[in-house]
Amino acid sequence: MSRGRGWGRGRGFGGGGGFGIVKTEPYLYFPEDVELPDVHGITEEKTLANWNVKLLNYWKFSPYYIEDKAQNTPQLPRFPIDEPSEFNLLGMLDSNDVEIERYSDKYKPKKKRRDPLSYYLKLTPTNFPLELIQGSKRVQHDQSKLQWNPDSSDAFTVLDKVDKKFKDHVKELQAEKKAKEDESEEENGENIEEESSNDEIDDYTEGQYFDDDEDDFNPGDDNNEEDYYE
Amino acid sequence: KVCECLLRKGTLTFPEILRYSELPSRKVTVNCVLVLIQHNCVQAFAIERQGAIGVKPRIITQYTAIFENILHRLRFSKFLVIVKEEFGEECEEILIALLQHGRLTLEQFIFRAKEFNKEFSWESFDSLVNARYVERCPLSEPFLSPCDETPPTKKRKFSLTGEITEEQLAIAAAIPSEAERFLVIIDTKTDVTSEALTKENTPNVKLEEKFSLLVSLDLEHS
Repeated sequence: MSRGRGWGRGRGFGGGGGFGIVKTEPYLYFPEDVELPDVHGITEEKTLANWNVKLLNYWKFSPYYIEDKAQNTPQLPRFPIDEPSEFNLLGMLDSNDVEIERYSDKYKPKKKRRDPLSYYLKLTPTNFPLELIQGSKRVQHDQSKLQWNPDSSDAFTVLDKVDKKFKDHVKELQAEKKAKEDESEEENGENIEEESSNDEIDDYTEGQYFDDDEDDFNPGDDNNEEDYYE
Repeated sequence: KVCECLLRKGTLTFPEILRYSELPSRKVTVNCVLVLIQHNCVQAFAIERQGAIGVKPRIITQYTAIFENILHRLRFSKFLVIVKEEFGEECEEILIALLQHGRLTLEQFIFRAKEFNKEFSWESFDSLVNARYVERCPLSEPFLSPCDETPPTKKRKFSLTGEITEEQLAIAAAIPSEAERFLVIIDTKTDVTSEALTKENTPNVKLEEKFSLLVSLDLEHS
């Protein structure tokens, strides 16, 4: 009796939910009457997408991308090991846990080091809540050392700058010297004394006055000097 | 994780953020909150909380996520295109710097321009401020008094129901006064660069003011 009722219910439900007969059409995979837009005509969206990618890449390698250092450090195996089975041993030798330098690492892209956050954040009470900056040391970094341009090379930027400064300084000195020599050529011998005084004063030109106190092997001419070795 | 906590659980104090975010160290959580504030995604505010019976009311700092600003980050590329069309490449450079770093001082702008072998253009900066695309940063920790029921002076509609939440009050309170908000003071008498180098000791606060990006709702419609 119950089976019959159940079957009856099933049929009734099936009859009520059924749709009308629909003509099935064959599915066209490549319809020919579709007009496709020009592939090269979407410059605006391309620009937007490019900027998105650039910004995302910048943030990923910026100091603002905070990574948990603890996750990157090698994890020591737990002690004591309850069941030293071969599965455990394999776990200890897992490459994720122990960081061993491999030859293939040479060709892997090197992880760029990020500058510390304090380089770019001005940790003052006017800019951030007190409770967040109380513990941190407010180190005043030299602004010229900050790397605002991520494309510049990491290793040699500072050295290049120092080198450039030195070269500029040398050029300036040479230019000054040349200018003074030109001036002295125009005027006559009256300025010879000035010219000599303009020469770079160093120990070489003042050899007669050079005081060689550190020369212990040559006894001094002046006998009044203290004689350490009697 | 920190942002997720603030978005899911609403306004939290820092100890609550520490607990809910479950990050391994306090320093990491602090840095996360600092970065979120730097990029204008979170606003801190101070509020007086009534203590239990016999306990004095104390002032606590709470943090709220600025939902609109977080969503607007998706539109950063569009902002750049609009500013480039309207003001040119120099303004676009200034905007790129602000979008990348969230907030910058004028001194940082100058040093950044040097690194790119360009000169910082005061005119471009002024034009952005005058167009209200760039403004001074909001206050770091505005204080909301408990009986602060006066509606904010800004005419913006905060909610459909007309009720203003504590978070909206905090964000409104953090906005600098209209006189200060778009104020750029440049000392033309002395060399700006040399002033910037000694800024730590000088009382010249003008160069130290930070400028953040003002998200104008009009941009969405343009």
